[in-house]
Amino acid sequence: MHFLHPLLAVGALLFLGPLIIHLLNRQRFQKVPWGAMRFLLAAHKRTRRRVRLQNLLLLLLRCLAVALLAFGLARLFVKDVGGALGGGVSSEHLVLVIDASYSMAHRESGAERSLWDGALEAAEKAAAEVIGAGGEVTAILADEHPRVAGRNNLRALQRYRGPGSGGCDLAGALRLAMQEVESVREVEKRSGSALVRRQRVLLLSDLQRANFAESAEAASAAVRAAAPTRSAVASAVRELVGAQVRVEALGLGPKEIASNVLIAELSVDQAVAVGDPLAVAVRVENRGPDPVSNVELSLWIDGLRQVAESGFALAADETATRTVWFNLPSAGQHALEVKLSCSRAGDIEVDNARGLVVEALEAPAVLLVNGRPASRGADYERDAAELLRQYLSFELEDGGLGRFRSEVLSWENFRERLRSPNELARYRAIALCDVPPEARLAGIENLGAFVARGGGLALFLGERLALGTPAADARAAADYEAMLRAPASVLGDAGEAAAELSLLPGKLSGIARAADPSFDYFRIGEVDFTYPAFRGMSAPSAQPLVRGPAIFAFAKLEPAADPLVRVGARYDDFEKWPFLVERRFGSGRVVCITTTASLAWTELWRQDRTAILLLHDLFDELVRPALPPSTLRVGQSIQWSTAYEPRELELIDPVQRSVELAAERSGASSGRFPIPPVMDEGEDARAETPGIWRLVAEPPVGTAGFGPGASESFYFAKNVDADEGRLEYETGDALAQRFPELALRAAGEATQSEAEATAEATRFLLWIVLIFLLAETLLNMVFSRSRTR
Amino acid sequence: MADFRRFLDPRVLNRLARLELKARYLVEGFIAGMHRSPYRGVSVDFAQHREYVPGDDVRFVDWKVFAKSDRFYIKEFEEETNLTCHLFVDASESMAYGSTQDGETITKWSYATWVAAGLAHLLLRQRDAVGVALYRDGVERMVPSSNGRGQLQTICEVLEAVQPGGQTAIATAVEQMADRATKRGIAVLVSDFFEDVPRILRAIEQLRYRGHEVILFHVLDRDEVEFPFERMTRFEGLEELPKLLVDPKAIREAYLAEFGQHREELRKACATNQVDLVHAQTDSTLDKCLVAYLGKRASRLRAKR
Repeated sequence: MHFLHPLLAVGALLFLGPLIIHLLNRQRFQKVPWGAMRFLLAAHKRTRRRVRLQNLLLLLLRCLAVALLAFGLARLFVKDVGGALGGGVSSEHLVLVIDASYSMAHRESGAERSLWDGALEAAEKAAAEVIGAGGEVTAILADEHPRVAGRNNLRALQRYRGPGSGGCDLAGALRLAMQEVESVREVEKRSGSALVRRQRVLLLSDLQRANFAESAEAASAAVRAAAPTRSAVASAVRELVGAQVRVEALGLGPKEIASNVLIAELSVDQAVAVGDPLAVAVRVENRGPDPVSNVELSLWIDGLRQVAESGFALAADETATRTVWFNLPSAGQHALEVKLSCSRAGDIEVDNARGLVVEALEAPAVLLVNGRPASRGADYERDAAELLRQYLSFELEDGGLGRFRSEVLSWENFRERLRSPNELARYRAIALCDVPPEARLAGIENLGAFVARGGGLALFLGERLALGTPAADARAAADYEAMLRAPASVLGDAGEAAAELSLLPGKLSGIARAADPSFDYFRIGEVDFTYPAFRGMSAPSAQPLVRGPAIFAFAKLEPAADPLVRVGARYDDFEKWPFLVERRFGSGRVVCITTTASLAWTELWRQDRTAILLLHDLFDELVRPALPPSTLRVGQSIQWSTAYEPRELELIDPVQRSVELAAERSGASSGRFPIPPVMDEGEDARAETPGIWRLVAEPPVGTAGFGPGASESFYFAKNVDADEGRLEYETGDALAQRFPELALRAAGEATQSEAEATAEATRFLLWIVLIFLLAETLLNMVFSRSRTR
Repeated sequence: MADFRRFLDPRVLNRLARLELKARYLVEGFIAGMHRSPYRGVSVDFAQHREYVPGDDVRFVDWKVFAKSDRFYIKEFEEETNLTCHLFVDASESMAYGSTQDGETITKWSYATWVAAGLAHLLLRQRDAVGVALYRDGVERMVPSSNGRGQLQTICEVLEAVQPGGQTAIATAVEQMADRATKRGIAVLVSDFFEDVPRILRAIEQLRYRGHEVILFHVLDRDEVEFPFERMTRFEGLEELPKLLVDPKAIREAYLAEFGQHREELRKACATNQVDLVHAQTDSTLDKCLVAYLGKRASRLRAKR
């Protein structure tokens, strides 16, 4: 038996009231000198016993009535009714699903305890009741990676000082609850128990709206992208209910939108060179019902405060984007953090800082291999390497283009240099411009390793492949493809079973030419403007820059059917042969331009604006290592690929604590090493800390491109889910409409079954009180009649 | 002329100071309230004629004189003076009880003294001899019977001088009085009779044995008759009886049953012994006591003839 309002149950002590009144009345009496005492004494002697008995009975009835009334007001309810009745129902199996999303860290204004503390307390209370009645309890932590936190022992929960900094995969947690339910049933089935265990899932949550986002309209794109499984909450609930499991939700959060000012997003332009100004766009949101003033933003580079913007105000529910400009101090990766200061009671603090890894580039070295050097001087009409060098050294006054240190090398000299494994390491990109096909290229494995480690290789096909007859062209094409074959192990591609892979991202099948260059020519037709090389020309007014120039001949390259292959643009010929094809190898990439960089095959390069934009954007992309996204949500796993198996892998958290990771290869030759996803216990709890993280890998001795003791670092930023900062909560009515199977109640309320039992108990108590009052009246009447007789 | 009938009301009498005055007013009120002359009847001797005045009973018109003189004359009779009345007034402690109504507290003792004084005045006015005995467990004070001048004053002084107290023993008191009240007459006992009925009966029998007509004036308070108490009450017994703390509501029925039984036994005893029993409640008018006495006196005179 439990009470909904336990304090009112204390009122049952009022049963002493009638007793006290009786005793007090015995002290408060009037004195009457009485003459007819002999009759009074005789009457008293005759009725003494009966009156005493009657008084005692009445006193008991009144005491009982008062106590029962108090119990009725305290709303006595009965839990585990089935168990109490003993009708073949054994004790309960309770699955506690505890919302561990970061919105649970919210403290209401003036409150010392967070919603998380309340959830833990409610969980322990519910668990104690069930375990005390001989039942079983399973606790599931529902963050972005739902997991069982304990069975029949909630001490493990005490290790969690706060919720995670991520979102809540509620559907996943409910599916996990379903698994727990089924496993318990399986165990009972195997044990041959005839008793049916009642099973219940209790969700302890702040009922944040984002966690229950069901429809596409309800959830923002960010929420859908972050947690696509949320739409499955309803089906998970239905599945549980269909399995005869009662699903209850205990709303712990406030009913109104709570205040929170946060940094919703932090973004920068693409990486720039040292000394170039970098714009950091900070999206700040006031997600509260009241305006705020004196919002301060400070920008930190590598832990040092750089610039600050202060004193701006935000209206209620306003979103503002502030742009902060600064210069990167040195080349390489830098930890950039923006912190928001807006002291207001009740705000959650974790989302007041966001980090980002930005990379400052030195002027990257580009090697331009000239396959057809001019016999004397520069022949821009035919010498593609020289043409590229001219364009890549071109610098706009506003610094909007990257800077390159280009070096032109003849094909013969390049072949010599290729034999040494460390010769290519100083270049960020290599362009093979119209090099002749050869049966074998010595040192091709070094070129493959260069690409796999993150180098960029550009292949400009051209006249050296055009030998005059289709048969000769085909032979040249085959040779060219064979020349670029490198060991697959060097390229670090786990998907290829072959021992060798060609760096050419497709298969060459000859040359296509315009019938009469005076009247006939090709153009670039389809363009993927999301491809970095064409991004600068994506504006409608700029698109003719790439689509306009005439192209008279190109090599027919059929792209490989590989997900790592990407076609950037195609010609407008009948067969739509590709103009630009890219394939990733390890951390690097190979880009193949199917027409020569000389002016003999195309007028593309005659257009300065087109050539400068296209080539600068292309080489910007080529010199940039193909890194995974450097900004993650807390809890999001990351994959980092290396071409070697690291001897040591060390994770350094935002407060410079080091954790040695026991990374294992995820594939036989993949070279990918997943960082363990969000862990929440012990040392791994640090993996949840928002901020800039660093992963340091030490390659094995003798790894190409690494000297003795060399290591490779990779930075990434972990940020909280911005949608978790939107402290909007589901109301009972709205949730009941969308999840009719879910029995929702606020903290302190009884469950539906408990409420029914309560109503029943209350009616029962009222009937008892009524019967007792009736009994008292009848008793009085009976006593009166007996006295009269 | 003052309306003396209001003096039949005990609450009015209670406001008068002297008992003698109370007795006079009481009797005057009693007489004024009667439609017929209290002195009529055949048991008195003729005294004189007087002229008829409106209001006189036409039965007493002397028709012979009318035939002779053609005028109406009323025959007036001279009363007998040989009747003796012995008043026994209970002065025990139980008579001190009196409830308060409308701000007036009238004890049974007060009521009993008024009845006694009123009767004495009425008797003396009729030239009957009257004596008073105040008793508790024996005769406390007594005034021998006489119809002399100043007898009323003496009786009133005695009644006023004594305050109720002590226990009752009516039989003993009557025994003590037996030797002194030798002349047969009417014995009037004014008491609450909170004694065992056999003992009261023994007293009555003694009086009857000595040739007295006996009238019992049973003076009770309304509280004793109705027992209207509601609150928790500690009843402190008078006449050395113990105290008792009870819930009156719980015991009321039983008390009334006991009390009613006592009254019924007394009534039966009186009926058996041809004794008049007059119930007098302290909030009721006093005239019925006087009427009861006059009735008894008339029957006594008839029996003498």
